[in-house]
Amino acid sequence: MKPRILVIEDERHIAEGLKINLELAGYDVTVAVNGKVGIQKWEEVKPQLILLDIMMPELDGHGVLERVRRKDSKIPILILSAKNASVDKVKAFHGGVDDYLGKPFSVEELLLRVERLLLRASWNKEENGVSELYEFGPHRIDFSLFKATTPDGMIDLTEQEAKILRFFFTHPHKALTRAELLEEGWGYAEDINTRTLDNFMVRFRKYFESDPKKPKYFCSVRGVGYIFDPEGKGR
Amino acid sequence: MIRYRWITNPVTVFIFSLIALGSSLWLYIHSYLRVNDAFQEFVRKRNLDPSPLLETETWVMILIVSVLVALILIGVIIIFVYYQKMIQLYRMQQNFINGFTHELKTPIASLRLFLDTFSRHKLDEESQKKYLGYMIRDTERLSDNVNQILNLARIEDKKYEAQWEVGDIRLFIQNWLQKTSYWSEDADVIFMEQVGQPLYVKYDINLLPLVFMNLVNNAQIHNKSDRPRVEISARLQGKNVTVSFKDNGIGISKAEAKKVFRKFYQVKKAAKGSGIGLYLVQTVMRFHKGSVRLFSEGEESGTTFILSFPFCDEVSP
Repeated sequence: MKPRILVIEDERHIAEGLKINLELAGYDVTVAVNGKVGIQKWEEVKPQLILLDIMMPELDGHGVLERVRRKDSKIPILILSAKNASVDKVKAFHGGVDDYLGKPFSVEELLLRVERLLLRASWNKEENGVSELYEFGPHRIDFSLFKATTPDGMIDLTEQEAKILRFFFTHPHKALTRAELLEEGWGYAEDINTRTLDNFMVRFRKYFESDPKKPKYFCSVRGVGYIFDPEGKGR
Repeated sequence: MIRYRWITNPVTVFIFSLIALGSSLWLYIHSYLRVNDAFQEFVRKRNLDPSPLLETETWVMILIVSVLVALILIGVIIIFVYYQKMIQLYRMQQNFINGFTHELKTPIASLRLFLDTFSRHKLDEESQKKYLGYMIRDTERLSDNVNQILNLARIEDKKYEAQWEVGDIRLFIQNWLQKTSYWSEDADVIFMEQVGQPLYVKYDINLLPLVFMNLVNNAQIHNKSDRPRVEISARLQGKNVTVSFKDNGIGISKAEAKKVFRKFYQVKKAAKGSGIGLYLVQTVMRFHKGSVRLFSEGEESGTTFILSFPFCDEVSP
């Protein structure tokens, strides 16, 4: 599958020039004409990398960077800006940008930077992420198919369930707060409360615990949240 | 360190200086009166002749000191206001440099991008044509930007060599729209009421296009609608020919409307521009012995700019 890149640039000519060059280099490119549209497209397309301009109407590059970083601290973001002074760069790096390229720029340099950023991101995923298959106890989860195989049979997982399971699997033996779990599963949606999460946990226990009343894998931590124990030793 | 930075803030320094000056004046007068009282007490105890001259001298002295302090105060305030204005001007100039650099770098970046594309890939003929068109527009944008600054500087220095021509403004608008048809890429620029009595005005052939370009450009930048639209119309009003540019943009508040023609002034929400466009429009219109005004129902309801030229009865310049 082609890596997806989101270009947030209000100058039409530059946006189109970037699109054609990135497409010819084998990427799947989406263009957003301002920051506001950029945020929408970012949520829609779920790109692997963002190319971001600074000076834009509606919502500028710094605003976009702040909003993206609030929810996703890992996605590689490269700023392309005519503002090329050290103070501008420092401000952007403080905001959490990964790379900064001043305009005018060479296409070759840009493509090499993009390639490198995507490569690094893929290493991070390998190191920190959970592979598509995960096993614990007698259970086996296939994230690519959203399926869990348990001794009692096959279970179809919802996207939310998969997200939360993945979060547990990447943080074994660590007490995760309700707030962390809610944010991971639902972002910052306001109408979701801790009750929803507790219902999810009841379901997980029904799926994976031999005695849901005495959980061994998904245990409660009083006043905090939940902890996942891959060995199933309980607490 | 950051916590104490307010101490060196000019406003804080100014307020403390005023307090110090006021306190010292009070202390002077207070101590002077005390010394004076002691002296009078001494005179009374010794039964000496109290000189009425002494009394008058005291109050003359206090008056003189007060006047001097008032003068110092006025001086400090003038210097402070002047300093604040300088700082403001400096900031505006910095903004202008940043904005203008952006205006120059953007077309250059676009040109470089397409040159790189051409040298790296063999594009089909249609794409080639399209991108060459983009490049031509980028060079036009670049030269417009440069001309704007150069001409403005020349007008301000009174060194601009005008190239006057007298002609029908309707024809001028039609020709200009044809030449700059590239607007149609991003906006609808429509000339209303194209036919009618010829409206002769005297204009400079290099400056007037810059005025038009700025007004259309502004209408396009400060616009949130799906498709920016500018309606141009020209008519005779008394002894003047007026050309209006009505847009469907975000409009402008009354407070901002008063300031937009100032040099380097930028509307707060604007992310782009150099703050010089409307100042140039006003300068050029004055150079034409005309004027520019703007009307807006307020924010979110579009803006109309009205250029006014003296009507020429005769065609000869």
